[in-house]
Amino acid sequence: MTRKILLVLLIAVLLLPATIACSETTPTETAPIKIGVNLSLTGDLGAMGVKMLDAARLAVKEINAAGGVLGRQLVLVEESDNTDPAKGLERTKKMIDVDGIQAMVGPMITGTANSSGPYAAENNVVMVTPSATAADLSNQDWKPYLYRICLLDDLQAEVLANVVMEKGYQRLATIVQDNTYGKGLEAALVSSLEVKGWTGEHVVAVHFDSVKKDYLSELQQIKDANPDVVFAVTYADDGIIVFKQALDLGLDSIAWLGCDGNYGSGLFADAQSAEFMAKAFVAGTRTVGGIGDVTAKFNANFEKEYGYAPEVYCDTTYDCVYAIAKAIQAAGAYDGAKIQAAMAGLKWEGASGPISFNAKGDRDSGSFELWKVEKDANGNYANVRVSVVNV
Amino acid sequence: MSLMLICDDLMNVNWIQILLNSAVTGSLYLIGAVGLTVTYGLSGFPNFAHAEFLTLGAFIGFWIAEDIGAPLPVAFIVAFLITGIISVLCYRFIFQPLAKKGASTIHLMVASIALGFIIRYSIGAVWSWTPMYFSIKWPSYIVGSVRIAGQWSLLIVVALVLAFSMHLILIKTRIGKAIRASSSNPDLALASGINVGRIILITWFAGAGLAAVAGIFRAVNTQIWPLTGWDIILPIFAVVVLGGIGNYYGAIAAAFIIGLAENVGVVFLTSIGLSTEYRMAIAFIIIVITLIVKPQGLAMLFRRG
Repeated sequence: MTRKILLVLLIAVLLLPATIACSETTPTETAPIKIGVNLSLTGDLGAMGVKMLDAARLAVKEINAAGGVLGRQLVLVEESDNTDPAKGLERTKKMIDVDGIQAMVGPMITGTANSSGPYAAENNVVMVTPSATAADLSNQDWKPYLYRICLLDDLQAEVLANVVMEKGYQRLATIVQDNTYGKGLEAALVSSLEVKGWTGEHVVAVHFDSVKKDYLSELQQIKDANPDVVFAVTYADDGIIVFKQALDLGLDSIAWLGCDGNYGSGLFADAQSAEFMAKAFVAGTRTVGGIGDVTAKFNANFEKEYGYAPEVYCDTTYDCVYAIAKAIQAAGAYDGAKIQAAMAGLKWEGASGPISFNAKGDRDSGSFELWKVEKDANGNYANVRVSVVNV
Repeated sequence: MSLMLICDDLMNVNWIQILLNSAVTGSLYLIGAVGLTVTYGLSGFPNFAHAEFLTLGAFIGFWIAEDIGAPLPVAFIVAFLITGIISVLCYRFIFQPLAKKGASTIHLMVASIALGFIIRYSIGAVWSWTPMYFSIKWPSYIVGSVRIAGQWSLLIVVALVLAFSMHLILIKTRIGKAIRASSSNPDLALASGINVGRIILITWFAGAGLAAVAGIFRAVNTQIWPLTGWDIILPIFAVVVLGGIGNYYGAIAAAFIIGLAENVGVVFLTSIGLSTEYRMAIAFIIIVITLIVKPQGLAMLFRRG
């Protein structure tokens, strides 16, 4: 046994100079580079997370096929936080302490970003999130170690503010989920309007419980405030009820604005909700990723590899892997601190559109789609693209 | 937000519409609460599985109206009957044997919570947990400054018809008198030759049937999923407690008071910038205050009940 091990070691030592000679960048090791993945593959967001993992695997496969990074292959250490911040920190610690990762795709959810952030920063491990969009992450002292490929809500709000300005609305009402997502978008829209010198008035702000599922009184509040535009931040399940009850109250005579949360066919499960959105929605926003060749190639390869079209945040997850690969290449070593420094200077066209970072490590460029809801000849409802806006 | 602005906000409120919305909410709570308060009064324990009778009724109604395609009135009737029968079976084979073995109120209550869980998760297993929606589209009418949707007017009419017919049944018919007698003094009723056991079964049947009707209305107004009943069981309990347990007339008044409190509560919560999720707290606060100040609820106002 000892002899066998010695033999293997001897071969390894003999081969080492050969690999160094082959590579221009003279890596000190040839072992694969282990990149962490901390997504919600199980739990509430599990269905979304496993698709995002597919996107990460696709990126790794492509990079490896093209020769890897610094002459080394990439491998993913795949962990799930079970959509639970405490579990997320545990998985982050495991990947740092046991697997020795220097960079990680994720966390997927804001909660795990918050729980894992301090530990990652302490160990100089770079996290690149595809989907943690909460604004207040930017103010954390460990933030230098979290880069974000996802577009933040204030960019989305800027697009919506432009719509309000262009259409000349003067009385804005908001009906938003009572959580960081809803209130964050509301605040971002209002402050963006202020910055743009809007002269109108924010007449009523309704913050509702997305679990209550009955919003008649809330909508009555909107009606009584007599707005000319209403901005709604909902998900599908609560949105359906908001919109069907809005139709009952006759609120379709007012212009409505939506966001990424109320995009999708889920909202059309109720005929009244669909009818309302088709009648009342002037525009909604959502990130569209890129519209160029990289995106087209990503979509085609993804579907070929997995047999289904990429869904929400698949493109950003794919770009996370590329961000890490590019930063390792630029840093010349698989070293967290060097990767962190190199990341700031990256700029490229990803599957999710043009990518670059601001001073806080948040993505500062991207494309948004303005969408509407339309009924086709067969009586089916669908989201229709109005235009794509770059910010 | 300053006080001036709040007052300004309140001036703009369409109070007539708020009253109408309160009547809609109150009607739903009334139909949902009648069965709970009467069975609570007669059987002596709060049946938490009542929430699941709402849900079950809603699903049966959904099945009849959407999957089979029968008209809505048929859905109401079938849901009423099936839910009523299931409720009777639950009472006959779970709660009655337990009570005969000397189970206390707490035992029966825990059993009802367990039964609720079983029904709820069975519904989830059979129909899935994904919310579904009735495809019926209702017309809306504008009367002056008030807007009323078709399903609301139907709901209010059903609640009114229920209130009057229950009143007539309780006052005029033998069975109504028997229910009142059994409710106020079961021993005396039994001694007077009233078949109290049968009366209890009838109230379980009709109470759960009405819960099914409330469940369908709730589902038509919002969505249908295995927590449809559970979503509104808190205000329904608030109605029962505020109205006085077992007191039908108290429940009528309480349903509309709680409907009003919730709707006006939303106006105030929004004016002061709070989330409207606190409106559920309004039902809680009413329960707590009633229990502290006047445990018998509004029952004192309705001696006759």
